[in-house]
Amino acid sequence: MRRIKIMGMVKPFVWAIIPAFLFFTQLSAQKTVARVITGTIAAKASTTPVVGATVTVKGTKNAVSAGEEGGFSILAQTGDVLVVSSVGYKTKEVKIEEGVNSVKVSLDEDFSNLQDVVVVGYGKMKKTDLSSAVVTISSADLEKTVNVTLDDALQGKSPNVYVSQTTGAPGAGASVIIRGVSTVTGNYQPLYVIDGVQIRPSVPGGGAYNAPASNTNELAGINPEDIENISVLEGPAATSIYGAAGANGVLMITTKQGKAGATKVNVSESQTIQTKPKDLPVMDLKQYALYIQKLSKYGLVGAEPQELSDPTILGPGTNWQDALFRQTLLQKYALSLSGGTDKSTYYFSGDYLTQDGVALGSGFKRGSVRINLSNQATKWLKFSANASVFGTREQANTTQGNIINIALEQNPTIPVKNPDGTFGGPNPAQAQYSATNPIALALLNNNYNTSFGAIGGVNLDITPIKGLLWHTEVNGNYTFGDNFVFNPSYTLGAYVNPNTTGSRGSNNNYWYSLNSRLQYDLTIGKHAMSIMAGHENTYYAYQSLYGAGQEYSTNSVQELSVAAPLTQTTTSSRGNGAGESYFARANYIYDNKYIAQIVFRRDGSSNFGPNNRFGNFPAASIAWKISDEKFMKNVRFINDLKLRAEYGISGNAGQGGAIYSNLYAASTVWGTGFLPGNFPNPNLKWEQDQSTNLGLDFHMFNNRVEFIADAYVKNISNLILSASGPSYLGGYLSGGYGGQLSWPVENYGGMQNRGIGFTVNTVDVSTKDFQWKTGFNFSIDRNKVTKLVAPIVTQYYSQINDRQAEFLTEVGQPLSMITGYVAQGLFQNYKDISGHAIQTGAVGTPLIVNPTSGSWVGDIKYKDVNGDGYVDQNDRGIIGNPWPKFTYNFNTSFSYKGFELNLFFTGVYGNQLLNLVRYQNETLPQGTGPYNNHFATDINFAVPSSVVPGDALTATLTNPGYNIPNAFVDANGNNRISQWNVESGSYFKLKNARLSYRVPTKYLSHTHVFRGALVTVQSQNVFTITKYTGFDPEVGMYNYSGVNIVGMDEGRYPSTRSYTFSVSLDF
Amino acid sequence: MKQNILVITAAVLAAFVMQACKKDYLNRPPLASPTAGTFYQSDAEILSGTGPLYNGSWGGYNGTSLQYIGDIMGGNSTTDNYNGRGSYLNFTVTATDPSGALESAYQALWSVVANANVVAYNIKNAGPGASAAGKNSGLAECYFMRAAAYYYLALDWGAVPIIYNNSVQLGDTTIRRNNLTDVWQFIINDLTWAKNNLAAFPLQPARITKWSAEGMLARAYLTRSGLAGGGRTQSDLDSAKYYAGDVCNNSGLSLLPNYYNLFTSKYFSGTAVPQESLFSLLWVPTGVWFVQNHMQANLAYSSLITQTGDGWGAAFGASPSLISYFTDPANQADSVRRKATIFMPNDFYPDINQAGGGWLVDTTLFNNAQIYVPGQVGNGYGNDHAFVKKYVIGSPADNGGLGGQQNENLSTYIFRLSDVYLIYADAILGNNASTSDGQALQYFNAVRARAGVAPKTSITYADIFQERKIEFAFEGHEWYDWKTWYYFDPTDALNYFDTQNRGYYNISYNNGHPFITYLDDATNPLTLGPHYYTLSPNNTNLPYPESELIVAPALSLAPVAFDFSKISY
Repeated sequence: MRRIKIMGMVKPFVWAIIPAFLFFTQLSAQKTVARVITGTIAAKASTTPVVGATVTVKGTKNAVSAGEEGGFSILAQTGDVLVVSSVGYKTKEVKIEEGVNSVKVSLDEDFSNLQDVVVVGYGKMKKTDLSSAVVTISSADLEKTVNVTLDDALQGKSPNVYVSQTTGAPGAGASVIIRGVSTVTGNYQPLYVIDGVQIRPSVPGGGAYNAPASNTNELAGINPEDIENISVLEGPAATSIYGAAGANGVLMITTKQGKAGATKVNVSESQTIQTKPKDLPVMDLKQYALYIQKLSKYGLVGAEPQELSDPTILGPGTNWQDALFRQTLLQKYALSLSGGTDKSTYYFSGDYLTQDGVALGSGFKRGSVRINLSNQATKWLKFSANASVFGTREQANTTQGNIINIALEQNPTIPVKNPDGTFGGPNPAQAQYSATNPIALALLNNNYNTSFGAIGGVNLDITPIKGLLWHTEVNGNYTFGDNFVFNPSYTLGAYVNPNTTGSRGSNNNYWYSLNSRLQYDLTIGKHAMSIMAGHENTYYAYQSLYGAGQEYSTNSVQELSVAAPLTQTTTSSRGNGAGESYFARANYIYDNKYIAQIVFRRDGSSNFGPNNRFGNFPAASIAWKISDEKFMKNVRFINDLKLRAEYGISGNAGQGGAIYSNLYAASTVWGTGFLPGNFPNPNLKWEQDQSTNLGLDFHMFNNRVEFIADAYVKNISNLILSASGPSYLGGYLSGGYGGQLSWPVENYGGMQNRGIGFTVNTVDVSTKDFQWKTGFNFSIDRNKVTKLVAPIVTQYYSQINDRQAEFLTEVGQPLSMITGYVAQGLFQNYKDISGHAIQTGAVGTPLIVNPTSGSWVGDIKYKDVNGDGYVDQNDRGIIGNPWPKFTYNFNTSFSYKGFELNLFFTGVYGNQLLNLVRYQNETLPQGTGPYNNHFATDINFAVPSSVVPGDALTATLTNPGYNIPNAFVDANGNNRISQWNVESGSYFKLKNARLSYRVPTKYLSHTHVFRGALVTVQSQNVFTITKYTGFDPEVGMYNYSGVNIVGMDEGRYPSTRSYTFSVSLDF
Repeated sequence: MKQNILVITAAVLAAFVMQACKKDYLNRPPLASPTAGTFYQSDAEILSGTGPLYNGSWGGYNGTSLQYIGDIMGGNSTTDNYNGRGSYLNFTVTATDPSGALESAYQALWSVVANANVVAYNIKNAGPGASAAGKNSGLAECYFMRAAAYYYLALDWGAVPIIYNNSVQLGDTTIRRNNLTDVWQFIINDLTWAKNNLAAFPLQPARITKWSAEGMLARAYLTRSGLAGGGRTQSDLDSAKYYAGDVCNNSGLSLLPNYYNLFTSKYFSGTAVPQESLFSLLWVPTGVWFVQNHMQANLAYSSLITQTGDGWGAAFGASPSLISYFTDPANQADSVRRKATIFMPNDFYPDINQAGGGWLVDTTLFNNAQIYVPGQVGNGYGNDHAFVKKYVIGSPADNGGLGGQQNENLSTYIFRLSDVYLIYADAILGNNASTSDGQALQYFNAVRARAGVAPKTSITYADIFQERKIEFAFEGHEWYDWKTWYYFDPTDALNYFDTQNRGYYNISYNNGHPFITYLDDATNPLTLGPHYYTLSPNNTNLPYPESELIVAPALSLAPVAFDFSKISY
């Protein structure tokens, strides 16, 4: 079916003339008048038809687009020039010769994407006209990995965007840091603008005793397959149009739209097998028996149980990791329909995804439907609307219940299930200090997050006169969330939990914005100008209701209706906030060579008091297209060379409420009372992020080599942070309840981020059948704190109630450095102890050599860093930097006929991780309790020749050569975190390998049903090269107790290898 | 054409202006909570504002910290070394205390100070609907709380910074520790102001009164009297005597006749508190962590007592010094307090496990008919001691159906009338070796009489100290009482600990008679006999938590004088 597409603004009479011409020319082909020229368009390399190519008669508005076999037909006369263009091909001109009625056009492939239109804030621009650092990610790039959620898809696709999974739990959010972290205590996540809807996902939160809790991934409802492309706004001139929201970078996400033409239907299905993680090296039953035997021998546990007395006859016992982890399936089904006419287009899609987590008690489901419509109602009025409705359901028993750590700690003597089918549990001697049954907990407890939401918008484009566009849009986002928790009473062996607890919480959040802008484009001679000005209102509100209860009368009814009335509590909350902004942008291009842009935004926010309510965010950028200069014309191999420079100010509004002294309701024996929750700061003002960026875009060798490089410096001042100080000033980082006051939120502090990033994309081989492309990107991001009220020390309460894990944020260092002591080995003998600094008390205390109240042989020897003769807090220093020195990604694709192989590698170099799992299970031989399992290496805990105080002078270490301290009472402070627990976090991963086969249309065309078919097999997380000994070195950044902690692994839910098989059919 | 542009532009701009927001569009005060600016509009709201000062931020001090510092370090409780808590037994608490009790106490007490300051600031700016008397009474409660927290801070850490207005001092990076004498002056000033502005009767049941402030003031004077060293300062003793005497003789308050009942939910929960309570932390058993009392969870030696899955206190119990007092035949009469304080084999408690007919301390827990021999197989040294009874009250069912896991239906005493009685006797004793003063004997013996113990005719400081040890065992007082002694007589006080058996013991229960074997060490009982730990004068103050020293290195500098003109009441 042929369609005539009218390009640009056409005067009405054209509409009348074309049919008349068509009619006329079919009667006779006269030389002097226009005649119908038919033709076919094919790619030069492969001879495949170029469907949808545009054919225009040069200098007119007469244009058509090529049909399915590349065919077209157009009215033209001798001497006319047909301009044939299509995305991905070089534009070609064909002159109509006398007597020629049909033409064959073969197009050269164009590897450049310079003509692409890039979505920027409040508008679009040709890539070639950009003067700011903007990276685009296409849907083709996104399809190369298996993505459950949108944030998964971002990893490795763009330089200076550091994406890491904070947890492998299904549906959980990732931490995304663009150009270094820009905040200490606030939200470091970038702004996502999804078809105009602004979403800033919250920072993944840290559970009290566990890896990050995984709920509230605000992006989990978005089907990644609906995404057409993503623009990553990194440069200040690009981000400052978002003013206060732009400081962390902006991800502009555009969803797919229908295209004029026949209805296209796509159905796809994918099945992914997710494998188990590797086991961490805990003891099996035999090793555990030997270990208990050894502990018992030294009186460290009660008498050795009879059944463990002969380890040689024991089997492996229970492997709790094996019992917890499983091979599971991730299934996805998707359908899309799109099409339209030259006036109206539509895109409709739906997906259903169900993922069982590799750990019992975890999983994720999503169903979503999207509809995008566009209608050119009249020649001056265009209307478009897009909307998606989604539901998600996340099962979070594992991450919320610390199940992974329990599985590591439970000893192998306990069966998963008893012979009678009930769950096993510890015996009475073990019950107090021992873990329970992780499998039972994963299955018995219930913890679900369900959410239902809608996201969408309506746009109106009015073009009153040529070049002037009045665009108005209303966007909204609504989510309804429900969290359901039920922890039943149970008896697991001697471990009795008599009390049921449960809760149900509902919340709804909505956000909407109204923005309207005028854009005027004007070209006069060599001057091209584009001016845009607009206004925006945003408003958000939330409401929540939460009820909790205990002592349910039965485990079978899991609602509060059966909880004991006196234990029931309810609470509710609501709040709102608003913003009002004015923004403008002027773009000027002279002679296609010199580009200048000025951006200004004035933002008002309800987060600030009347005096500081508005902030101004200007930016400017310039670019010089050197390749278009005359003197470069002879340099043939350069297709495009552009230098860019930009400077601008973005901002951060922090969170609302900090200007008020909020009171919260507190129970008293006299009824409800009220206490202040925070120290207010009515003078709070905008945070300023001043950035300078220099960039270079380079396209060479027929655009087969693309090189893009950027370098930036970002100075953050008036940093909005919870100005924590000494405890004697009475604040808490995560206060605001329970008598704990939150620190005031202040504009004190500064940071500097610096970095460089570059991308090299090459088309290495391109022949008729075979293509080989590679892409590489490399990033360095450095963060340094330049000003603070006082150093911020974050202590992590680990599972064993020990606060030794500490992170320090101080001036001159990157954020959140790992601190600890320097371990120098174990004390070998008395001389060793007495010759060393005193480790057991404050300055002035005497040396005590005693197995239970001082230092003893087999205790850890720590370095007296300051040389004052005592090992104390002054000897604690930075022992690890959790930030990578650089990150890099490499992808390569080979295609041969219908086959395509993609390999995607990602790597991080030079960061350190605090392996708290190993600290608890190895460094402290009894760290998690006397009857718990440990790493197998713990069998080598230090054994002194004597533990009688009187033998202090003669005691020696009987098993030197290991770094496991003795297992006696720890009076020496062996629990101090040291560099022994810090490991390299560098890794190199084959993140994804994908092989696909596109079935040639010739095999399908005879069916009249299929237009195309794609079969894909792929594997995610194929291999990881790392020295890190935990489950996975990819440990993201999350918020714990009010501060962002990075680089700590405390039993993180692992990401595992998966295999996917998928089929996609086009109709 | 140009005109067209102008017209259209004007129209669009007009549309923009219509979109522009109303002036208060950006004014969004919190909807779910009142703010300081909207609350405190009446006397009733001021009471609602000071009510939470009786629980909340004290939560981090109540329970573990109170027990570890007050009783384990004080010498009343034994412990194992789980999470390093043995350091409180052997005076080796470090800045990195792994048990967390040090930091928890430190943060909680400063949090009490901060809350008191912020609420006081808000009350000072209360709305016109609040009366002057209502405001002053509210302020008095704030200053009382501040003084109560500083009492612990001063005795635990010595010289500490004086925080009188958090909002002003938040930005001050030059804060140093203040001289200990100034800290005590600050406490006395606060309490003096409080006593002048509190009513003689509580505005609501269980709230503090003028008598609470006077009693605390007496204690502050008495403690400070020893600060100068070389005996106690007579003027402070006189003040202590004056205020304690006023409470004893003029308050009309009296001791609860039955000592055991002091620690029962019937007499001491909700707004039902005995008039003996001068200041108590008033918990609400609703299941909200910071306002519930979690003491029993960590003290009860068996989950069968609590019935709520907790009861993790088997490692704690009467210390050798406490058990030797109660098992001394000379003190057999002191059975009321013994039974209310510790569980001894075969004691029966009808109010615990009422559904099951009461609680008998099961003798099979102990090594029947066996005397412990170190190293002998099958004769463990585990939990054969006298467990903690005080603050252990049984299951929710035993206590009006209220409570739950880590949540007992009971308040916590901070200051009781019997304390004032003993302060009064102590103030009268003063620097004398002994006293037979009538008033001193009257109130001293009132405490003993209630316990069913014979009166004394002459009392020494040692008598008073011992009486306090028994009367307030497991109420978190012992360390502070010792510290008060140490202020004016460091030699004797240190000697007291040097010769205090802080080892372990084993109760063997033999035909109705407990038999006690003293052992060298709770954690490593290899040899028989007592175990002594030396308290070095350097360690009589607790260390500042490590994390605090990193953030505030100025705490290591010498303390400075405080400028009292900065404070206005």
